[in-house]
Amino acid sequence: MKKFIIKSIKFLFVSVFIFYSKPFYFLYNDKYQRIVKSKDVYLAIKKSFNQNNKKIIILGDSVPFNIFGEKEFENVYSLASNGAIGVIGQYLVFYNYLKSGNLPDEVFLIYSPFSFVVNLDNVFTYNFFVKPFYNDYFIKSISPLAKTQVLKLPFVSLSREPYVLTSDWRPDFKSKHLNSYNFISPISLQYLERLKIICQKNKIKFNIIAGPQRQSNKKEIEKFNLLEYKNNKAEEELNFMMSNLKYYPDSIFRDKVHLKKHIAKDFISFMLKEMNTSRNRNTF
Amino acid sequence: MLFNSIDFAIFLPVVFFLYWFVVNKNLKFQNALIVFASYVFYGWWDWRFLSLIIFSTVVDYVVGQKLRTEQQPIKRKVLLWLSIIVNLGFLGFFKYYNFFLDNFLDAFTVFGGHIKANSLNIILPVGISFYTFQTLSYTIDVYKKKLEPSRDFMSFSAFVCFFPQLVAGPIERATNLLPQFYKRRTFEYDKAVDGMRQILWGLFKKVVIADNCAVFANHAFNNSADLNGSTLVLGAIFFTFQIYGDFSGYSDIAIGTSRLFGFNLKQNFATPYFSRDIAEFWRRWHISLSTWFRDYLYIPLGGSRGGIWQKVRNTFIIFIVSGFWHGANWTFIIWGALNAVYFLPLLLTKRNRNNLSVIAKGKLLPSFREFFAMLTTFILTVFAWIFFRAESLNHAFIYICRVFNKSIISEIEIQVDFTLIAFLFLFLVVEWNGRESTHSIKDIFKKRKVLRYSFYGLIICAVFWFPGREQDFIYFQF
Repeated sequence: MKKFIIKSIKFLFVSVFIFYSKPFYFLYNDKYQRIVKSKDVYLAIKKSFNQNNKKIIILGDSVPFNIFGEKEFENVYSLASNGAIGVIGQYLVFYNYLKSGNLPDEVFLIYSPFSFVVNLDNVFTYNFFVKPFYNDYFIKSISPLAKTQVLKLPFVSLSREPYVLTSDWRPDFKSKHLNSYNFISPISLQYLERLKIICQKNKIKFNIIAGPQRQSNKKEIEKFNLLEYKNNKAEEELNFMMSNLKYYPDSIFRDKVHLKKHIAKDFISFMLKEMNTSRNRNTF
Repeated sequence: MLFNSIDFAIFLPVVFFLYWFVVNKNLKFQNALIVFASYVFYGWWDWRFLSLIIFSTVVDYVVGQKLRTEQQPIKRKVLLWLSIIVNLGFLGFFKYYNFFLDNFLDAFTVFGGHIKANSLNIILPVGISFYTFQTLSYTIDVYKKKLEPSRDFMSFSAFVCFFPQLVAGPIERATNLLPQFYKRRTFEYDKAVDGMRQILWGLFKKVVIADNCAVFANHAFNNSADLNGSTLVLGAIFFTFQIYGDFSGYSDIAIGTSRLFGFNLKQNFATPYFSRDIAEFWRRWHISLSTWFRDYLYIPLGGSRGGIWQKVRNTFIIFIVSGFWHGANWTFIIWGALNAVYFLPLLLTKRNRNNLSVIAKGKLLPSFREFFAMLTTFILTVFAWIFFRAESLNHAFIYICRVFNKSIISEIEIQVDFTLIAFLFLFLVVEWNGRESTHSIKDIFKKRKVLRYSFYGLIICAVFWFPGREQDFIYFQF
């Protein structure tokens, strides 16, 4: 038995060494940011460090990410990534873009009406928000409300551990969603205001528009309680978005919100037209 | 709890330590620990279904006790049927209720009738097909007086729920496993080391081979309407390796884990893809299930004795039931029937027992004839797996139709990682090399310590550095 235990411990050490060599290698060259499921988020963060002085910035969830992809436009720069990062994640990316020395004229938050409900409390939060944003660099821009919510998730302190950070590992937990809202979460409300304020301060026009909507979602969307954002600083932009939704047949969607991949690219002109409509609305 | 999870990586050493260092002096405590650990292992997935296992254990234990004293044939038969009905009743309800209901309603609709009935939203308890067959073997053997009924409830419970093989086999016979719970286990170094070796190889098969092949197999089967014939052929081949790596990998981990606790489970796979005909394939694939059906269904039906009609009937029954055991879907039934079609010519021409020994025994390579026979069997198997993997019969036929057209000679539409090809090659070489052993790396580089340890290092690197996206074990759903 003694011989077996000693041999097993030796093997354990070798295994641990081998096991950890991969995360450390990935950390060393940041390769993990290109292979994990949340790679779109890391890409948006990376792009937010670029200094390019584009005039129009696109923030948003996976719908605009799929439409615009990584395509380069003359004046349009997409920092869209994923809805799981919440409005807070959109804010952090945009704030960092400004901090990197850029000053655009306009910013468009292209969001699915279903994405505002994100309150950093679902199973995707760990990989999509905690790992990319809950670190020394971004922590100062995270509000106490958001911090409190993040700390309710299990194993948050493990998120910087090399294996956890460089893999798609996340703890399993059931979301304890507060049913006090059905459209927009408290953290989304708070960070929409922050987005609006930062735009006003820098004289950037702030817009919120939605991507193409699935016809069969219409009834569900119409049931949203729009009073939830009453008196929010971004109320006007949200009202504009909700009154300008465009519905399309279910057949062009691959799930509840995403367009089929080969169709998504054809919607660039649709999005640009929507952006134009929003731009031409009367108020600043 | 999955074998390839962090949970199990913590669970196993804890149970091992308690087993050999805390309760090692008392057999009853050792068995009690196994029962407790097995319930934790199973309850990790869904504790509510533990009640099914416990109920099944109690019923079969009580039936066994009654059979000990009961001498009247009719009463003995009633007891046997009680156990069969309870066990198969649970299995039938959880696994086949919706299938039978839907097919009954469809059949009724064909004849112009209309019945309103709703399918139930039933969760299939993990491993129910495995432990049901294991407990049935106990009752049947006790009924046939091949086995003395267990007096010790704790040993019997441990036999029913022994965690290494509880959820995906091997389906152990009471005659083999139950007596091992009666004897005090002593730690054997060689056995434990060999167990660790088998666990390592099982992990490689599951995490590197099966999970990586699954990515391509899933892509091919999920997009079969859009891909060309050559890509679909490759997809089917990848599934062939996926299912073998997945299931035999699980069996290897189960057998290896059992050895750490001093138990010997029967070999469940014996390099089946190196078979020279389908009969040999079925002697080497999922051996514990094949022999179960042979002993408790095929032989009682008359086996290969009798006239041609009886042989054909029995062959179809055993293969179709075997297919149906895998799942409540017509795809599994057709898969079983197709294997019967493959097998029948061999049986009728009395060539089904031609290849009893391992291929190219004692030789480095097979002869050309053996290689050709092996390749033919492999192709037939790949074809049958299409039915097994397809979502429905319609899906299977579409897949096959898209394979057999001009596009079968066109360029493959998916890019396969070179690393996976290299590991598949390594896997085949090691499996070929170890085809005469009870598991593939049992005797690898036996006398060359440096090479042996380098090989272990390579396998550990592969497991940690090149895992596929984590997939559930395929056989959990059965």
